Amino acid sequence: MPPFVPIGEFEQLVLIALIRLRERAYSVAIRHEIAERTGRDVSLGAVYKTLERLEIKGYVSTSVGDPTPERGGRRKKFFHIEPAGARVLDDSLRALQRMTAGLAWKWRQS
Amino acid sequence: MTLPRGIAAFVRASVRRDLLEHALGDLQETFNRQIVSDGRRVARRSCWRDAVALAAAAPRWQREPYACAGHTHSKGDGLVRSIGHDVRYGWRALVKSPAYTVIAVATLALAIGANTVIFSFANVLVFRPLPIADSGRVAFVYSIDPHSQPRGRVSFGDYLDFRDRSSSFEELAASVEDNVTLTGRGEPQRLLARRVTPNLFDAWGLRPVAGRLLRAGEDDPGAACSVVLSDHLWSSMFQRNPSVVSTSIALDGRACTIVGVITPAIELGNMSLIDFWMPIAAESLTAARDARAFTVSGRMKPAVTVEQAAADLKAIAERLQREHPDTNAGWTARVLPTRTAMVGEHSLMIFSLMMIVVGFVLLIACANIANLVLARASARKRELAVRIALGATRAAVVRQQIVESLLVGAASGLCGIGVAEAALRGIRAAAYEPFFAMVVLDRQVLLFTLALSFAAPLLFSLLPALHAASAAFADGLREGSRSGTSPAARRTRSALVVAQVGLAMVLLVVAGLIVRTLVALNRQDLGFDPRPLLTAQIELPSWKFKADSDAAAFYERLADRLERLPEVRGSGAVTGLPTLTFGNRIQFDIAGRPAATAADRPWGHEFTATAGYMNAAGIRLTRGRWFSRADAGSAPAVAVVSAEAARRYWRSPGDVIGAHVTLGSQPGRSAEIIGIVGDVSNPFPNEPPLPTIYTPASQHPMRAAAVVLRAAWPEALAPALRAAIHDADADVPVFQLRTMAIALEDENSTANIMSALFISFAVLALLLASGGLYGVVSFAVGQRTQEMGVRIALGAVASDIRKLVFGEALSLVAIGGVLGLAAAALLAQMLSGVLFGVTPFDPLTYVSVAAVIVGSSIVAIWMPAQRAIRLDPVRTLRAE
Repeated sequence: MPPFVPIGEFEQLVLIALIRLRERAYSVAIRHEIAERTGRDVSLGAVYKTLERLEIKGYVSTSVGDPTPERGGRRKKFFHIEPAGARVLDDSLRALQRMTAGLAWKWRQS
Repeated sequence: MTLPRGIAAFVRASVRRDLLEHALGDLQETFNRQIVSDGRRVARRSCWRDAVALAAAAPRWQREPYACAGHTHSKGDGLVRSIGHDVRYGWRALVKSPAYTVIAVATLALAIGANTVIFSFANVLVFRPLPIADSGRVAFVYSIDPHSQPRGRVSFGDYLDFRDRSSSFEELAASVEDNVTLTGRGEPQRLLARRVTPNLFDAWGLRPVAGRLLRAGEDDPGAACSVVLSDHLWSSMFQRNPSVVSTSIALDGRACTIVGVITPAIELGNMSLIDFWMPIAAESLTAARDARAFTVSGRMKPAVTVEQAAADLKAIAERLQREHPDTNAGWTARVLPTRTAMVGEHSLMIFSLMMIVVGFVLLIACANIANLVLARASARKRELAVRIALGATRAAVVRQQIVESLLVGAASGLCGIGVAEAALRGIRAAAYEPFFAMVVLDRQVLLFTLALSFAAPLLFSLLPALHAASAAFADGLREGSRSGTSPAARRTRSALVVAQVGLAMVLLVVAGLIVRTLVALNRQDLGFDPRPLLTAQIELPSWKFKADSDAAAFYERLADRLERLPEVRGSGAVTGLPTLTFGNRIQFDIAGRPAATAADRPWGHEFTATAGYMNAAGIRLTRGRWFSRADAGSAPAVAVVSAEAARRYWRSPGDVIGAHVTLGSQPGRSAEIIGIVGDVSNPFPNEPPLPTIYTPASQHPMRAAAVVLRAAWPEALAPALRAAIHDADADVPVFQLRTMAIALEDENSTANIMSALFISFAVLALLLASGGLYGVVSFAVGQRTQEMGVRIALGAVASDIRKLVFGEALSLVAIGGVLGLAAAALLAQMLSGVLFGVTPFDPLTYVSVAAVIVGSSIVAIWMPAQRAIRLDPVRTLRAE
């Protein structure tokens, strides 16, 4: 069990994308999911780097799929969220909620 | 649809290998989708963007993250693999900045080359194994008195007493050099023999390669003649045929049996010239106790130290002083270990000095490259920052930079070996002394070069690398951040410039004085003109020329034959070549003067010469006449003196002609002086001409002589001269057949080589110092871009900026120059003994060296100064 390592905002987004995509979560799909929902065009490099970091921290695991013709006969690398990842995402989002609870939406104007 | 080829190739070249398959797959998939929605052009462009982002996020050189996380995912050893990455990355980085690479490699290669050359000299002197078995137990014995040289030779009588009375030597042997003439094998040859007591071979632990070495008893006066061949003579004369052992050859007209061949290991330095090893001649054994001609060496008993042996022999020498007061008064003994004995004290000192000089040159080179690395580091700051931001550790960044520097070191080491080999070839071609033939790039030298190529990069990269890494950590990606402007760093760089300028100044001044010395030596009036002269050494074998008249007749026959050659404008023979040899130092009395004490007796160097010699050599007659053929053995004895002798011993030149002198003593040879000739310069160029007395060959036997021939094209006459000598007598060996110009060159070759080396080092130091100054000023200008921009914006004109840049840099040059001048004056004072025709404080040298330094400094400062002047103030200010 790796020690608790806090995660950043982009890592939150990637972990949530993994949960949403379930077994279909691989780099292109994750990027597409984030772009669709947040309107951010994130680079493929950033996605790779973040997934790698999450893997090192022990929050995600990988498996390799079958080759597909649309990828020029290359394999996909699928990512799955690990229990530790789920817990750290939970902690992180809950911290955010606690920090924002009770605040009026007005802070945007100031 | 497949990926555009350029993108695929780019990704393969620049993305981390473990990600390659997924990355290419992802790009392909994205590309295919986008073609459908946005068309091929847009798809291509965004695919390129993705590819570049991937390469930036996971570049090829990066380690796989699993390896550093402790997973055992990677193949092979992580460190070795990542060093492999570092090497490839470093190679690309160096290729990408060719200017830095070329300057750094060239600088370091020259410095390493210079160090390699000097070390290969020192290697021969200090590290090359001696041919002597267990050489720590072998020591050399010298006889010295307060007036003699510190390594005086020993007389045979003293040697026998040392050998018989000493308790510290197992074997004590004597040897002496001798010339022998070999006949009966084609043209007669003069060969060099080492006459030895047979126990020398045991004392030195030498082995034969064929037959045996000399045995005890073979040096007895009545014994048959036995010789041992040297390996080189065995190959050149006998084609290494083992059956020559126990055959016989004619040496000096005597049949000698070849008993064996000695090991080639002994052919080191001057010993490589020895052709034969033979027993000491019988007449040596009975020579007087003050005929000190023998080299004495021996093997000490086990556990006896050199100091104990020295004390032992000193005690014996003191007893000999009492027993033989007439010959041994004041003479004591000195014992030296083998290595010290074989290496001249002077050569060791000269090479240590040169080692220090080239060491400094290397340090300067490293300092310069460190500066380049620093300047480059500030240009690469963003690259480093990106790498650190992407997870490279500080250690990884430093390691990468060190690997890059080691690549520079390796390239420089290779080029340096090339430089050294070229230099050594030139030196060997120019050298005359056999020592230089031993100077080669052997394993020891190559190891030294390897060590330098490894140590130098560490020296010049470690500090800048640490500095750059910490700066990058501190500054991160911030634009406009600075590094290397701390006062301490600036002071270091300034001190560097001062030291470089100072050292260049010292070396240039000494080089300048050496050049002036060489020019003066070439221009000096030798007292004769060497250019039209051809010379050859001959030796009349005593077994053939028994009577003095035989020799005189030979010289007349030879003169007749030579003068018949159409191109020859004069010929003669003399006992020693002018300015290259000393004559035989004699004392003489002038008739009609009261007898002088030994100390006040007139002295001079005696040369015996033939009637044709003066005209052939081109020595000037100032008064009276030179010898003629009429001065035969039966005619009254005559002599000619040099102008220096006339000046020293007679009140006016008019008194000289007709004066009678008695040359030597007991009984002395009387002669009438018939002429005065001009002086010939002293073999020591700094000394005044020697008083000289010439005696005619027709009245004095001359067994060994230098033949001198005068002609417009002397080198063309070499075969004719050899033929004429053999025509006059077929058994006379001819050797050292060369023009006088080449003889002079051979004589000075060692000094010329040393001078050439020194001058090259000085020029190298000047180049390095200029490069260093350029680097430092460029860096300073680069650091102060903003300040300069503000000044220009506020109205500073070109001359103000130039003044600013020059003022600071030139003040460093001035400090370095003044320190350098002081050091140079000190060193020049120490060198005054080897200077000729120039004082150690020669103003012309100092002024021109200062001008060269200032000139090259101005060039080095000018370029960065111009860059500062051309600054666009708006751009520099906006850049902040």
